[in-house]
Amino acid sequence: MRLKSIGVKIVTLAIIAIMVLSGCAGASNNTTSGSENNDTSSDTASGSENDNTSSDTSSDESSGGDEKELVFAYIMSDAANEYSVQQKEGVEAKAKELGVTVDIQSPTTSEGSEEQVGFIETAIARKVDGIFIFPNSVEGLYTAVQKAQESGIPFLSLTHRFDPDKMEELGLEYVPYVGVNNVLGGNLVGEFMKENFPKGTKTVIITGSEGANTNTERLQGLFEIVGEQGPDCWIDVVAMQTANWDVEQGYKVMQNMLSANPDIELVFAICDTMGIGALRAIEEANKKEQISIISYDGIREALSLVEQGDFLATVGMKPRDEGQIGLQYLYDWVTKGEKPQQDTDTGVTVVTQENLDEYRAALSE
Amino acid sequence: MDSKTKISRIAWLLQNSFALYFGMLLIFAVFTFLCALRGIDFLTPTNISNIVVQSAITAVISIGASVVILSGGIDLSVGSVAAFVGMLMAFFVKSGIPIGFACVIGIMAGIIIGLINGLGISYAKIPALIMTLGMMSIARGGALAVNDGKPIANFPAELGLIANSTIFGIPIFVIYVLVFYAVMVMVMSKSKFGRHVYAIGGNEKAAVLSGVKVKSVSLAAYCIGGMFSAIGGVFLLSRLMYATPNAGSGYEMDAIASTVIGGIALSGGSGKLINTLVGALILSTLKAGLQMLNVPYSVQQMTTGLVIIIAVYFDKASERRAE
Repeated sequence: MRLKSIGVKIVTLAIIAIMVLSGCAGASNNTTSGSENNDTSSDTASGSENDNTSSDTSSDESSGGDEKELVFAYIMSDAANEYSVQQKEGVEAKAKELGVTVDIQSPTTSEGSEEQVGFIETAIARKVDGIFIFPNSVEGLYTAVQKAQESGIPFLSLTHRFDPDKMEELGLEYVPYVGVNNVLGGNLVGEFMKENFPKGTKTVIITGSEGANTNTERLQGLFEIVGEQGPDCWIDVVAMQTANWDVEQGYKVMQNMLSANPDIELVFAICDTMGIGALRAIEEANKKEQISIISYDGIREALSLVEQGDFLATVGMKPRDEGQIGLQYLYDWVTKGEKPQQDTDTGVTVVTQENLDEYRAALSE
Repeated sequence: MDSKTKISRIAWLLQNSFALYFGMLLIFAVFTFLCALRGIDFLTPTNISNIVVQSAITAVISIGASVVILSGGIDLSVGSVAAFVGMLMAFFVKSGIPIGFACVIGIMAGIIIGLINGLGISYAKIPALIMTLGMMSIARGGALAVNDGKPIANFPAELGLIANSTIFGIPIFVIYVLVFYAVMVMVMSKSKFGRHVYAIGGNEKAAVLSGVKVKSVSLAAYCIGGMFSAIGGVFLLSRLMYATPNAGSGYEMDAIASTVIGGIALSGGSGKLINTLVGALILSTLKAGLQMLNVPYSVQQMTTGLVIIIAVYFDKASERRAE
């Protein structure tokens, strides 16, 4: 009996060792658009992956009479983030149009990059034709980007930008970026505030998870325009607290900030979800007349609230466009060898009741 | 019983939980003082009402968590179940199902999840930590699946009545908390079921030998856990009129913290359910106070952790004296 169990263990370990070693050998043989690559991708294209958060978008025939079917890996930021979900919908639509397969993965949390690194490494091991991602935090992904570039797999980023200077510093190629400029968005909010509110307006800011790029960039943009916090700042920031992108936390934080500062006039919520929670707290405290809400992201519910006058404004972006343009660029890169330019700006708009219809029309194109 | 026994019982009760109630008063006093320094009025009726209402959902979910912990188990799935039930109910309400009916379906879903937890733990002998950890992921995945990761909004106004009505000017959340705690405290202290839960938590083998049906009692405890998680999810949905798959994250830690601050041992078998309510209030007051003082989030986290440790330290004072 004992010999048998030891034997089984040795065999299992040996199999694992062999797989690991051959995996390492295989990775160093990677080429970008060689036929070897496409052979392995057509194997994986028809099967469905066993990762529980992935979904395959495959088509029956490839476009343009091409024999090879391309496989791309797309990594979301968070399966429950409506912006990320809308972006995914854009990707799925474009994938159908181009006739390619996109393997979609999503981390279980929008905080931290470990899961995204894992997905990138898996994609590299599967020798996909291209990888594009909505990073939660670019800082955590440098090593993964390095691996992708060393394997010769085109790598593109959506919504958050890999700073080209930093890439150069690290000795890496630049990562093409499709998305908005959050700093610019913050600038627009700052200008909107200056145009619509007198100096010294009592303001509270509800922020997202500390350290998230989205957070820091939007705040940076805001303070660039209104001035550093302090006596010279256009707005009087009486409180700034995080609600970690969560609607319930937004509600509680707003309630407590109201208790401490009953004469608040303006709320800036760095994402719509938190703004919705804040709105509930303001409604309960019967202070809707007194307080205006500016928020960011332009999710469907937020647009409804702008229409109803509950939100003063939100910053709209085009997540679907980002997804579509990103996949198109990656496709062109792989098929024609044209590496996209460093930045493609999909545009931010401050959406108010005035331009709401115009914005909605532009979205559904 | 005669009045002397009554009085000595009350004295014993208060004395045993003295540190806890003193702690809560202390926290109130500290924040009143600190806020006054900043020109903020802490002790207003609105503020106190806000704090109680903010603690209500955690307090209700903690009832279920406490019952499970008292029986010697643990339930890490509470937050995810709340999110799942919220999404499920939101989906049904949007599909046109009457609100009351959707509410019942939601709570039943919670009970069923609790049942599955209990079956895995009591009958399949899967350790509670693993079973509920796995269920946490499953329920979270379920919440995502309901609407493909997208939140659900725009409900009929009546949905808000569940959470936002007032009765004689008292927020209905306060009434719910009082009623639920009153009922469950009676159940845990006076009924056979309650005694059996304590017995299992205290010493499972002895309970088996005494003829307690350990498996069914434990199963029931997890069903209760699932039920209260679901109720929490319903409350959250009605309060915010917005369902997100990410809701309730971290609830399990808040529920467990409320339970242990309230003096229930993590190993089970001892502690009073009513004190969990105090634990939840302490946590809620702490968070609210720190936010009112505009304390940086990093400091809020550290303070909360410190308070939990200190609270349990005082709880264990009698144990240390016994050694």
